[in-house]
Amino acid sequence: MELIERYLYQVGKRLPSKKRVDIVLELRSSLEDQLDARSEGEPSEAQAAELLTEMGSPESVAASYYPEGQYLIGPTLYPLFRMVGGIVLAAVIGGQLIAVAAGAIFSQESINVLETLARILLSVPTAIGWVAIIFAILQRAGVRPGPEDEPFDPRQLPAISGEKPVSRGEQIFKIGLGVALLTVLIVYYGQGAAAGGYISIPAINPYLPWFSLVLLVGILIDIVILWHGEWRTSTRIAELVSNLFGLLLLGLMIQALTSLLNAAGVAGFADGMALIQAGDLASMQLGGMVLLRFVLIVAFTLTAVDTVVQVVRLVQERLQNDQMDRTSLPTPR
Amino acid sequence: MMTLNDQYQKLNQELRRGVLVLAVLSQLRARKYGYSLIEELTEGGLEIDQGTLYPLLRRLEDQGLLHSEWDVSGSRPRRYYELTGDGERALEDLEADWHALVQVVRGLLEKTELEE
Repeated sequence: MELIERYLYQVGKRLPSKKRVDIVLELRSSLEDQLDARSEGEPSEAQAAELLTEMGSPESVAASYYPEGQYLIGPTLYPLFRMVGGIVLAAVIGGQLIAVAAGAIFSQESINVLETLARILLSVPTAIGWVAIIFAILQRAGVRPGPEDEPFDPRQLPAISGEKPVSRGEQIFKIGLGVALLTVLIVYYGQGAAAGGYISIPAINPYLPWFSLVLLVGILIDIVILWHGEWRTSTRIAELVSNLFGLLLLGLMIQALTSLLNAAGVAGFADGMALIQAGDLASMQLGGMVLLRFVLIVAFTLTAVDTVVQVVRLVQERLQNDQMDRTSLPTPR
Repeated sequence: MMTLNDQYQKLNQELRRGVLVLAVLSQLRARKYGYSLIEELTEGGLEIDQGTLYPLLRRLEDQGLLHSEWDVSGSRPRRYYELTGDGERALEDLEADWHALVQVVRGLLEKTELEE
């Protein structure tokens, strides 16, 4: 019966190759048995169609031979995949950042920030891709993580950190803002370096690659926090270090701008605003610098506040943990 | 959104899943091929469709409870399944579990009926 052959071909296509021939043979024999049982003599196509309709689509029949479902990376391997992926990603990005930093310190050549960032970004899918390929091979080969060696002991469960989970929306907003700022900075730096153009301020240019780096690290920390869903000691310390470095750079840039403006005889913010409205290019440039200095001072203040908050939280957490360690749960009498 | 009927279907399916294994094993003390097994179960009052039975037979064979072989002597080739030694022991244990379970659940159901 041609209809049954067409049906079996579609089922067979979706079966594991090792068992395909065997399963198709069995299904054919069973379908023919049933057709015989339903018809006197030669079965009609309508009867075959009815039988196959009852049997269900080839997709669903083939799928029933995969009781655990079909996965590139299955649920038992997935937690391990996520962990390894995270470590590889951190290593790839961290390694490149360290290499860039070392290059910047030890070589005289200036860093091409855009190129470096692009390279780091492009390495992310490659790294994840390789991990996924390796895990897909493990999945196909039937490798599964073994049962835990140590028996589960509820008393070994880690203490609750007492942290509120971070808001995802807020965190995504922060990441978006960081990316936007970084993009602006890269475009600005690229243009300024290429044209020596009118928006370039040579006094602060040397700090900009470093500042981009701080922004990038900040974005990465925010991504990790988003992933964890809460602040942890590690992310707090990372944020602190990144903040301190950012404060240093902001301070240096503010200082550079201030001495530049002092030399030009511009005293305060009001002076600057007047200059912007003056109309000629040189005055507008000076006015722009005043505005930029103002923005940097605001950024400096916000970062400083955030740093203090982070230190306080970090100390609080340490104290809480100590307390939890000392006052163990009261024993029932 | 799952309707009440869908929910019931799912619960019913879950309830049947374990019982089907016992039912299938119970009929394979003597060797049978898939379609004859379906007929036998249907005769006994248990409906089972091919899409459920054949994968189940494969799984039980992979687990070492069943043994299968092709027989090409008949009008068409048929794959016959039969309990292995392990399968027989598993069937005995499951049978005892089944009787105990039925008794327990019946007791529980009757108890709540009395309370009502």
